[in-house]
Amino acid sequence: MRMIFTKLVRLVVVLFVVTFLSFWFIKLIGGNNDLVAKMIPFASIEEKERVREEIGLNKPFFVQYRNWIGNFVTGDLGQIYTGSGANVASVPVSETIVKRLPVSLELMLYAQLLALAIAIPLGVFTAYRAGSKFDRGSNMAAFGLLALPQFVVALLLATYVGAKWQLLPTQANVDPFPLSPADNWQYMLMPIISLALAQIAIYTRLLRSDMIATLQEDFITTAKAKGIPAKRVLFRHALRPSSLTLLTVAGLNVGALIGGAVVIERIFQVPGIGGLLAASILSQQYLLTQSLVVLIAIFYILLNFFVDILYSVLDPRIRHARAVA
Amino acid sequence: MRKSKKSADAAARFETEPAEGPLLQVVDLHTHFHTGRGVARAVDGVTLSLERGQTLGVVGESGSGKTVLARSIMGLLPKSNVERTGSILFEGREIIDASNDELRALWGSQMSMVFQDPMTSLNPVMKIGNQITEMILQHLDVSKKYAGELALAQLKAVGIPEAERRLKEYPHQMSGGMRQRIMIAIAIACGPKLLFADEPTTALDVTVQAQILDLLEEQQRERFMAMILVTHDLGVVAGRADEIVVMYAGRIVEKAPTGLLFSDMRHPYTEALLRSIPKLSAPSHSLLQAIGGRPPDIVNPPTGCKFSPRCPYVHEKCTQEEPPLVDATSPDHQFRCWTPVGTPENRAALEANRAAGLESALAVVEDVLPAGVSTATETLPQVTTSHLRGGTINPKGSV
Repeated sequence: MRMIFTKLVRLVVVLFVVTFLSFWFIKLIGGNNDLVAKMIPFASIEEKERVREEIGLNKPFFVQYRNWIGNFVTGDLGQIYTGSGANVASVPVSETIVKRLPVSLELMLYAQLLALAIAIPLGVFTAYRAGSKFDRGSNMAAFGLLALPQFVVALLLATYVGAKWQLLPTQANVDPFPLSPADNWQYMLMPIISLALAQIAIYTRLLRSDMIATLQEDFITTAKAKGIPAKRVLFRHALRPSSLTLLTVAGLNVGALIGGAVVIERIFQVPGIGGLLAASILSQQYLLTQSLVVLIAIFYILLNFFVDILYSVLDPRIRHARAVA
Repeated sequence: MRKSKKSADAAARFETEPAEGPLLQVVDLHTHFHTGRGVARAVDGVTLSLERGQTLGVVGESGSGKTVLARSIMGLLPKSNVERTGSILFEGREIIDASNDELRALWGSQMSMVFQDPMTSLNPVMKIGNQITEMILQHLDVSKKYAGELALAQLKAVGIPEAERRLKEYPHQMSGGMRQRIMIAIAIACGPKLLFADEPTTALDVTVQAQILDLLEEQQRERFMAMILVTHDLGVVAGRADEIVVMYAGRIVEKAPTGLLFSDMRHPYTEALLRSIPKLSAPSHSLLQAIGGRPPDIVNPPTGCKFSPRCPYVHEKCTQEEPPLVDATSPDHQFRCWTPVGTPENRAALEANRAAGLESALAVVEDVLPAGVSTATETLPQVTTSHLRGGTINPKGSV
């Protein structure tokens, strides 16, 4: 319990640093005045001045930061400003993100689940039968998948499954995008598979090598000598101590996928966070960029916090070592 | 449905086998490993038999094949690159060609093993209790609750204090001696008829060794278990085994009932093993009588007698022709030597080798153990509790 508390304190500190840095870095890019000028270049001078006032850019830096953090916590992420001359309109940033975030979460979650669901049994089995024909075959397939860039897989899928065989729609730019997996699976299936394939290869390789090491351990011989069936020895005795590396990498991947699936989102026109982030940078909507960066960072940090806790759930030795220290 | 099949399996597993005949009979067992360098003959024609409730000591130095012998008999070796030939009869049933599935019914319930290193032999991420109950549930048709009670009883039987609490702990929370007690509890939980103890005390503190050996002996007696006690230490088996087999380079070089082996040892290697034990009665700073040289390479063993390169009594015939296993005074006692210890030929060979300046012959110190003169078992520095118990604070306690 004490361990979780100290971790939580650390978590808050990291969150603070992350928000401050992203706020500061965005400021560094253009300076106060330029940001608004870039956001709405064709607006009248009076409108620009009004927007500056609204965002609070005329206030001192730390006051701006404090206000921004305060608003961020309450869910007010600022506005997206568009228009020219005297006609400047604004849409809340949060509204756009709320529409896009579930899509990205779904994409990431299902891609990970699919990858793990295939990689875990495959990794365990190839380790158990290391050196067999099946193992060598799966090794070769894994290297092939690793060498193949994701966008190639995506394009192949789009070309064959989508265009030639007409099994699934290749473009997901429908509005409004159905957020429930039951309704949108046909748009999400190919993006999910494209993202999962490379992960399967990585996870299988990782788990296989860790499993092979674990299977050499004395306690595996003990389990065998107890008359425990092979399947139980593999999944109950060997898998848990072998899964720490896999967990680490999977945790990092989930974080990376949330905003990093830009290419796949673009190919299949999936309305996710990655595409939104890229678009916000191109259209210089710095409040949107800032919010997305912070959100992704928070997501990353929280996720790795849970991974950290999971380590000690998986291996009691970590739990007790920390408790002593 | 599944339950009833399990009960049937469990019943079949414990069906009373014919009680006559030895529990275990191993005939001409060879275990060969196919390595990159060639064939390693780790076990090379071993024949032995074990009666119910008896203890067989298997003694030899590292690399003599004793551990491989134990694992070969139990069938625990990996299948790839390993070739086993010969015959292993367990309760009259041939098990050498049994599949893992067939053996799994025997493992744990009929024969089980206590391993050398308790620090690595228990699953680090599983609670002690689960490690015992999973096996009970595997072999016996009992409820989870009853299995838990059985596990508790086992821990108490092997002298674990605060057994209830220990069931919920992980191996890393315990000392080496405690872990070895738990290994023993696991090994005997389902009441096996044959227990392999593979150097059960080698990795332990000296003060704990005797306790563990006593525990094994006590449990063995109570449960009428047969035991194969593998060790490199003649002192360990001296007071505990009914019969001792001395192994060298995968072969039995001498085999005799314990008393007879110590009173009338014939093989130079047995003699050398005995000499190498430091004597408590010897003055301090006495040189240890180590066996010179190195264990033979089992991929390319020496021709003739495998021990000949290190033997102080070596002569021409030894390097040319391997001696067969022959009976000594009784058929119980067999050895494999051309010039056995205690014969005039043996003396003559030693003198000749000394004259020739052979290092191993010069190293033989007569007064420690006059060659061939009977040595009573009592003079051995046996590992007994009597001289150790006093030194430990709490023999049953937190070891």
